[in-house]
This record gives sequence, C-alpha cells and structure tokens, in this order.
Amino acid sequence: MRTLTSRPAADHRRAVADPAPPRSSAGGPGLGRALGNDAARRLWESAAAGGETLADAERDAGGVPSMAAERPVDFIGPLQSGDTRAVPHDFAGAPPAGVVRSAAFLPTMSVVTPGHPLNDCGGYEYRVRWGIPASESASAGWIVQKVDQNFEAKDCDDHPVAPHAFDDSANYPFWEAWEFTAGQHVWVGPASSGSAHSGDRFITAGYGPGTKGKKTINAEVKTIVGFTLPAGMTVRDAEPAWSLPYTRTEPAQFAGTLRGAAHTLTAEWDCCPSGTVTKRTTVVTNP
Amino acid sequence: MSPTEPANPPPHYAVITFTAGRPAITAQGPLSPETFHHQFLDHYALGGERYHPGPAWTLHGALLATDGTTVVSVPILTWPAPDGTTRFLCQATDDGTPPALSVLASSESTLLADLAARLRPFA
Repeated sequence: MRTLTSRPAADHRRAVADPAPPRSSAGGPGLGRALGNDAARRLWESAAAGGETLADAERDAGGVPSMAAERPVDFIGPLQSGDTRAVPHDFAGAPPAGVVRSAAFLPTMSVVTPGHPLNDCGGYEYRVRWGIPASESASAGWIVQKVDQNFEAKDCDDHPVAPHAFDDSANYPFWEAWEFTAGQHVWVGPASSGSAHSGDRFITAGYGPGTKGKKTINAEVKTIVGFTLPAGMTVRDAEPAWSLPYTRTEPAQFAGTLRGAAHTLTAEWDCCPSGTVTKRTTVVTNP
Repeated sequence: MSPTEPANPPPHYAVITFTAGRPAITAQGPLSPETFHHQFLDHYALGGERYHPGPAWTLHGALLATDGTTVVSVPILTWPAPDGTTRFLCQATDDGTPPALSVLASSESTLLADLAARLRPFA
C-alpha cells in the first residue's frame, strides 16, 4: 500500500525552497496551505510589511475571492466583509497575530487500490482511504469532498455517446461526506452507521467496443472540525455516493474554509474501429 | 411459446431470516421488471463508498429475488455498532458488480420496511 500524508514535512521544505504556482490546475492546495509554521509566519510577516506574496499571483491569475471565507495566511487584502486569514486547524502552536485557526485541515490519503483499468473501453477502479493526523486525534467533524468532472465519449463515427448517469456532467459537482470521531475514527457516512471507512472509490464499467473517450474527475477534499450536515445533504443509497450524505448544493462550511487537497483521476480509451483496441483504458491518478 | 406453456411469473422477492435457528419468510412481494434489473442485474458506478459490516458480523438472513429465469440472493448481515445497538445490512458488493441493492437499518422491522419501499413495483 502506498501511503501519502497531506502535509509531510519534506513538502513544506520543498514548498519554501521552490515556490510553485499558488494553486494547481487540478485543484491542489495553495502553497500557503502547504506551508509549515515557520514558513507561514514568514509569509504573514512579509505580507504585513507590504511585500510581494503568493496572493498577488493568485489575484493576477484571475482568482475571485468569495464573501465571508477563510483566506490563506499569505493572502494580501483587501479582505471582503467577514473574511479572515487562517492557518489550518492542525497548525502547531498559536497562530500569528491577526490570524485565526481554520476549522479545516487536510486528511491523510492512503492509496488502497491504485487506479487501473477494468476493461479495454473505459472501465476503471481507484480507491483511497482517508485518515486523521495524530495531532487531531481529539477532533470530531466530517471529511467533505467536492467531486467534479469532465467527460466526453464518441462512437467510431465521432457521434457523441450518451453518458451514463455517473458520467453526465449535469449531475456534477456534488459534495459527499464521512464523519470522523475522536480517536481518529472515520465512518462510512454518519458515525451512527457503525460502518468503518474503508475507502473512497471511483469505479465504473465503461462503454464497450466501438467507443472512445476521456473522463477526468477533479475532487477536492478537506476535513472540517465541527461540520454540520446542511439540510438536504442526506444518504440516498444510490449512485454516485451511495452510503454517504450527498448534496448538489455547496455546504457553506465547505465554501468558507481553506482549500482542500486534490484528488484526481483521468481515464482515456479508444476502442475504434469497432472490434479493435487502439488504446486500452489508461488511468492516471493523484495521489 | 405454446398456449399451454405457462408464462414466467412476474418478478418477485422474499426475505428469509434465520433467527433462533429457524428459517422463516418474513417478507415478500412483487417487483417490476425494471426494478429487478436495476437492483439485481445491472452494474453500478461508485463515486463514494458503500457500507461494510463490522468485523463481528453474523449472517441474519437473505433476500431472494427472481424474474422466473434468474435467481439472485443478497445476504442480510448484522453486527454490533459502537453505540451497542445492532445494524442490519442487506448488501452483497461494493465493487460495482451487481446486485446494486444496498439497505442499512437499525432494526429488522425497519430493514423490511425500507426493502419494501425500495422494491415496490413502481418505485
């Protein structure tokens, strides 16, 4: 099993030594979010002194802050009404002056089943397991994931193929959630299910011979202490989230907290001309 | 089909429980062909997670469904939840392979009611 931690110390050092774009196109955490305590404090001090920070790049790139949200510690104002600068909830020690501790932090991600094809023509499977860092073992709340996608499939005459419901962009984005309780316990849906979390799965059967296409899943996951399920975010026991609380409306506590970790999959296939496999399903994932 | 050959009966289901060591049919009813296919024969996609029984699970019973040519069985498992109460789960898979049906309840009566609602002919 390949295990990745969302905030490894080595990543903090690399982020400081080799600044990357503030946010990846795949929805990765902003650099400020990935920083350790010292780096975050330095950036905050630089911002307070009027220095150039990553927030400038974010603004130049067209980022449009929404109202009443937590901003990374390196964000340069003006803050909108209700906005706050924040460090992740698992930030060690006291936050710098003028900065609050976010309700959110990043879960750990362990790849349980690496992304792999289930067949030649678009079927795939991929599974990761969430975890709670030891520093948050006393915390409780929900791991919340926003799932969005792009999908295109055609037949061998380049006519669009009708997507399955799971691949229909009309059904995205959606938000789903796993409750976690003190002791680093993560549950399938609410803790009252009595069903321990095993893995978040992306799995679909594909489209068969005579089709070609590409699917990209862009998900963002964050752990929110004290999260309350909004009205309408309920378990449906149906596709796509099955046993998890699900909603098509962004929860305010998700929108208002620091950016989460990226969780992505891209699958491509080409089973044209019909009866041949020009390109067997390929699957690329992060992590 | 000859005039004397019996037609297949409409799809239907039965729940068998093994409580007290005595198998008993505790619920049964009709299904629409569409529901039978959707719940028992079709693959399903997954973008989240399905339930998993706890490590101390036991077999409580089974749901059987048929359309006259195919018989599908789905186990009903129970296990103690951390709060000390029992969970009842009617589900066979979590990997996209049929049957898709998945119902979790905190009592047998609730499970049977939820199954009836999920499987009613025009659900």
